[in-house]
Amino acid sequence: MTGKSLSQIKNRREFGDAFHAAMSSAHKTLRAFWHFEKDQNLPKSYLVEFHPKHDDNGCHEWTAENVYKTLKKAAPSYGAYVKRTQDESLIYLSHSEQSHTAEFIIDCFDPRFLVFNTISSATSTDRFIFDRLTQYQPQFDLFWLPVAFLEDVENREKVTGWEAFFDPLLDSVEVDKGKDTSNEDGISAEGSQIEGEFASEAKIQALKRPRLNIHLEILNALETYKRLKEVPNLLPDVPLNSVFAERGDENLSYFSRARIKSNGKITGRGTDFSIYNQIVQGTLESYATLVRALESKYWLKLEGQSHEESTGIKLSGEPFCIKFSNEIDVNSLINLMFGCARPFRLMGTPEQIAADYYVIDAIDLHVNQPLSFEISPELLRIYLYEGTCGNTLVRIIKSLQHFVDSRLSHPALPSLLSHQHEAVTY
Amino acid sequence: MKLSPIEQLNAIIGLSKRIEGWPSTLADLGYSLERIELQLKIPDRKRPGVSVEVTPDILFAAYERNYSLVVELKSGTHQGFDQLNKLLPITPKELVLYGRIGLRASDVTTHKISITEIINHDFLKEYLAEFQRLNYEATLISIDSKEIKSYHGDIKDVKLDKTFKNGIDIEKSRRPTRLIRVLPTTDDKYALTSSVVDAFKELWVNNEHSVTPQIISLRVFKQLWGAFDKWAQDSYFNYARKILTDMQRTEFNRYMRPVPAKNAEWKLLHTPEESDQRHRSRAIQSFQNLVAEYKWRARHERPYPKKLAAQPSFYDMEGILPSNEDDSSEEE
Repeated sequence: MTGKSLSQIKNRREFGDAFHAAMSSAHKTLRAFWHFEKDQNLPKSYLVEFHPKHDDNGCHEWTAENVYKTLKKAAPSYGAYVKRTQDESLIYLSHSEQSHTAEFIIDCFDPRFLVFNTISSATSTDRFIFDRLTQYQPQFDLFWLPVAFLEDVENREKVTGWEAFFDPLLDSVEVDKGKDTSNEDGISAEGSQIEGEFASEAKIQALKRPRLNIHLEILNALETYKRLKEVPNLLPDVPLNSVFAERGDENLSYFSRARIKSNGKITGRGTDFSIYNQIVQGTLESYATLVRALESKYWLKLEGQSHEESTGIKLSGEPFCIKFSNEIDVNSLINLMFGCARPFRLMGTPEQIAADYYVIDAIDLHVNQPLSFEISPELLRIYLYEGTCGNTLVRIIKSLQHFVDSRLSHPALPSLLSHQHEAVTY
Repeated sequence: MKLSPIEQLNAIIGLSKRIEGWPSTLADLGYSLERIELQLKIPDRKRPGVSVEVTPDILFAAYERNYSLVVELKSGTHQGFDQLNKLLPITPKELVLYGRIGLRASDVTTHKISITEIINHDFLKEYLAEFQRLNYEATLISIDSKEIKSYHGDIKDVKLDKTFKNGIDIEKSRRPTRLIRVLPTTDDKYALTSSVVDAFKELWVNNEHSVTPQIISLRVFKQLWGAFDKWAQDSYFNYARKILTDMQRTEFNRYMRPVPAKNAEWKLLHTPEESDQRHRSRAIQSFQNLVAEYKWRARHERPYPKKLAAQPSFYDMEGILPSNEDDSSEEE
């Protein structure tokens, strides 16, 4: 089906054939010419969590039909067209806005944890998924793969590369220009240029923790990563942002390679789409198990106990606690987290309950659900109320690791094979 | 430092959980939270043929060690021993038969129950004087920002008794405050107000079209709402109606309008979906600022300082139209 629109796909077999043809063709072209032909792209899979509005009893209805209806309702806002295929668990979606066009086959085999498969251009598909669908539709949220989750990929796949990324949004200090870290062009460590008469009086924002972006591909790549983690004096923050997973037969007569990114985007290369899809499904299943396990353990749930002779309330669940590796500036962190802006997108106002100790009743604007926080310089507690998605918890961990403190520690994430001890210290 | 009833509840329940930054004194000795606001009827020992209803605030149980701890919380001044007097005669058998707690029948005869009153340290002097004057049987424990300590009476679990008598140091701990956000019958007015405002905020962010006290109650308590008795439901319902009425007349005037001919129902206005996608974050931030202002006023009991933001209508004028509070024939 190469060259044909994904809209012609009717069932899972045709979906597999189309993506297999596109993937192997791109692989051959890349091997032969070192670049792609026009309009030729690698297959990509965006892992998206679907969280429909709950009914009056606080229950969600997760069905492929509900996914279809929700997408259909939202479609006009994004220049999207949605249609069913013959397979009820596969939905076709096309999006066209300005010069951006993208087509997706949405795999709703698990109607809560979806895969948006595409072979359209990454510029358009990224824009649709990240800046449209999950940005403005609270029923859809990305997957947020924290460091421990990416490290755990090693237990399912052969890892041959990794990327680390750290962008400190909190830890800047003001220094006099005479003592600054800027170069001759007046570019400070944060990249802002200071010009004219203000330059001499200016205070420069310098980073306490270095900004970092590493891409490494090598056999036994995670060994290098682990060694790097053990020497914090060299690089204090090396949070994994993606891993390169490989799968194939022993002789590599067929193989696939996937770049699994912390925002749930997976890009595939290789000769065999079904093998690539195994990596995608493995990631999805592991994440689904993790989110459900987090909800089971950390949902704070009040249950009425009513019998003929007595009534009362039972409380189950507990808050999720994160410890920072160094004391943080609480006010700056609150401004960063609860200003409704990315990366956290939380809405809430702090109430001080002691010196340097605040409580915030917030709403997660990704999914518009409530949760509460307690924040002190050394500690952050998250109260996840029943019904609030476990996805929120991993998103906060992941965002803190990449933007605030990559060496924070948190309880072991349930269901991950490599983290069965009580506390993970990155 | 005086803790409100909800703050006390969270602090003490927190001792039975393993929460980073807060002591796990009760959990360490095998206690788990059995029930909050357990309501049961037991025979009145002094009046033949009469049963009395008792409602301990918290019941903890350490089944392995065969102890339970009944806790009564008091955030204000001493108001007598009525409630404690009802709690003291409770027997393990009654807890099993009428309270439906999970104690094994074989352990009933040896099970030991301790009755404890926990108060704010600011009022210790007057409580202690009363407890000592009567040589009262229950244990008296106080809490402040530095420690939780027992000052009178013995807990039957010797290990726990010793721990409380030595005092639990909480000076550098971080008190948990959100295990339970609110209960409908609490005396904590700020917790009640805050719960209504937060539920309203959640409805607005989710682009809901209308709000009523009933919707607020279900949003705050979810399926737990049905477990409360009529008195508790009415109490919260009326409080929610009062706060919604006030919100409409003050900070949130721009965001809610009474629905004509409907009692205690407001239409939600200017919801996020009504703003352009590019300006949605700003609209949410503006709303959030009002939430902060309203809560701050509620906490500090300050009046609304401004004129109404929008053109006031008859609905905004107190006394012109019949007040919602005056109408007791509420649909529930």
